Amino acid sequence: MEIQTKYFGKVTITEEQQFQFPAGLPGFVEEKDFALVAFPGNEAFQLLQSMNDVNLAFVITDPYYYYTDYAVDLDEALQEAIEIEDRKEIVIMAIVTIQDPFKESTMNLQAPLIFNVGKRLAKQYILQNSTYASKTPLLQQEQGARKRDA
Amino acid sequence: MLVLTRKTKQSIQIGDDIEIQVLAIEGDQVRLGIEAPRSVDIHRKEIYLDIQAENSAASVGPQNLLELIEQSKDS
Repeated sequence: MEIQTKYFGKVTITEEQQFQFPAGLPGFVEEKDFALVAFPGNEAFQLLQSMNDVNLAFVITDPYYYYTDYAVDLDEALQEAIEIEDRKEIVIMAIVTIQDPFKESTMNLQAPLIFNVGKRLAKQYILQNSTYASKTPLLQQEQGARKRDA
Repeated sequence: MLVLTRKTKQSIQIGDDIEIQVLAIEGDQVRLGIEAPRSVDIHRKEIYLDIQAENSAASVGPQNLLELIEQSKDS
């Protein structure tokens, strides 16, 4: 199907790209239907686009690309909420707050997005007792920014 | 706002299935135990507000967001 996106105009998406957030997201609890849209020519980011409000979209990224030892403990309430049966079906992403200049951009590691790819259900999961910050620098010290390549 | 006075070990029942118990009081800190269905999300208020604010900020983004992301590939 075709949807309107905030940044890329109309794009065609498949069913696999559509996710339901049964509880919405904090601050946007009425928004439950989103699509994951690739960034043209940029694999580092994806767009989480509301299917109801063209002006609501989040830039998201794979937190493990930047913080290879990032760890999230998924409690039973979350597993029930998005019907997790198989850990292999989980994808964890982080919302990015893009700043100008880009190097000041942050990502929210305190409240990652947990996707159940099999069921196409998702939730923003607020970690209760974590040391991860909601404004974690996307780029660490210059040399540490691309740990995975080291 | 409904205001109730409780002592240690006493509880407040909200609806059929939510109970909040005062476990301990130490100085200006109160330790609470909360029993609620798993479908009810419980958060420290300031953390929830922070996540709300951060989501709001992330959803706006600078005018030249696409340009900034494009340039980030070179850095």
